[in-house]
Amino acid sequence: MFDLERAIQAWRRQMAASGVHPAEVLDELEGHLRDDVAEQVRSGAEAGPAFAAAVRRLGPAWALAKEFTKADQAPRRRPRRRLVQGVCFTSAAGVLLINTWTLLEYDLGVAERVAGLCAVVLAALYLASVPFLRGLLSGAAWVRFMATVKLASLLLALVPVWALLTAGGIIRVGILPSMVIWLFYAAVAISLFPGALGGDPGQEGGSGAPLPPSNPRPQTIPPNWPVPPELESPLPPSRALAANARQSLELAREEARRLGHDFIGTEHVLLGILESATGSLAAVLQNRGLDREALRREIERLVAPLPPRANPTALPFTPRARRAPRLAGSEAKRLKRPVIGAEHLLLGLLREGSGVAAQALKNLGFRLQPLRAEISE
Amino acid sequence: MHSVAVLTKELVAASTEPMILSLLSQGESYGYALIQAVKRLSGDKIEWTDGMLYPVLHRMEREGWVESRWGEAENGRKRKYYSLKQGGRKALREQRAQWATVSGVFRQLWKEKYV
Repeated sequence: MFDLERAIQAWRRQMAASGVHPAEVLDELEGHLRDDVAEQVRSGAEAGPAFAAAVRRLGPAWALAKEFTKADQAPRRRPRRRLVQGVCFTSAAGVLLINTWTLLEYDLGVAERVAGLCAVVLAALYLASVPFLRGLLSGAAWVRFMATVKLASLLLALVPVWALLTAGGIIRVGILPSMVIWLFYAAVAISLFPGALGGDPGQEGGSGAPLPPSNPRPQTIPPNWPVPPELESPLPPSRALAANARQSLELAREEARRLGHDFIGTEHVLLGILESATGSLAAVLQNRGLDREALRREIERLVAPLPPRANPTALPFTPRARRAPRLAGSEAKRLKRPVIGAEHLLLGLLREGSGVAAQALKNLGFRLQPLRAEISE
Repeated sequence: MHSVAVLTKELVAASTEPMILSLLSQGESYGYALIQAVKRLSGDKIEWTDGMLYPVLHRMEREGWVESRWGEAENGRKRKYYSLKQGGRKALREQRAQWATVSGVFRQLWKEKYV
């Protein structure tokens, strides 16, 4: 019998594992699926095929993940662009005002004043144009320009030396040369600024509406809903499991039952490991601020718990969860340990990197690589 | 009647935003309803990959064109509703003018066909 709740829950797992992870986005898409299924059922379709059709129409998970990532990145350029413009315009105005005042204040000849003013105006114009350079120059010209700026920035290191020498009275330069040096300093520093921000100030954020076609492309993520029957095999213990690893897997099974899931996924294994962690592993996790309850909440946000089943059958491992012990085996080997411990299981999960466990950790702000490095020690 | 031709993906991509903006200018709506409306109005000739509407809506929200709120659907479930903001009205005016230009050219070029 088709169970819509379970199907939706498995679908959420699949989406989360493919990178569509904010729970709010999943809620919205789930609402869409439910509307679509309800509409089809109203016009006489069976729930099972209706759900399959709705999921198909929604599009492949990888494509959705890509589009959501793009949508999240696009607008960041706008405030940055304003920031770059703001900084450049302000410094242009500053340079203009300060230097004009200097030229008037100091006792200078007319020719010097005019030459100085020309230099100041040129520098100010240049500063004000920095935000638009990217758009004005062609690709190759831009690369050459940035290379020149970087080279010139090496000279900036000399400015403090020069400032010290003048302050100490060791060398004396007229007001005009020192003005030119400061102008150069400002020009180079400001030219580096847009690049340092990583923004692309000359380019407009994509405004087209990308709706990629739904034609299939080689899928990197194996579709795993519903859980294929061939997975109903026990774990392949390529190496002997240590007592704490075995306990972790047992607890993973418990977690899956408790959440009413009919499979054991990476998220259950992760909870199992945290539950059974002792000694140095527990210390590392505590150090990193990995709170079991926070993690549990995040996991439940990603994959909704269901009422526990009355007849607990043998729960199959999902493909990703099955890979973790295998990866754990190679981790143990790498660290030259005779048996696979809970810490190796955790390393395996982190290396796997894309299951619900990894996603939940990422959502909580953990970076997997540093965590791996710390556990490896 | 000519054979039913499904819109090419380039045209779909170009027309999605103005369509969403136009639909929302008639009042608050949500993803599924927007998709159904476009299907109905196009006589099933525009087939969006349903899920792809949502990233577009999210980008338009960040762009400041639309705003969203979680409300309750008739079936009691929560649902995300979108409505047009001032920036969206402006964007719609601009896009509308562009599409009017394009369609005006075609109208003149193809006039004899329909007279």
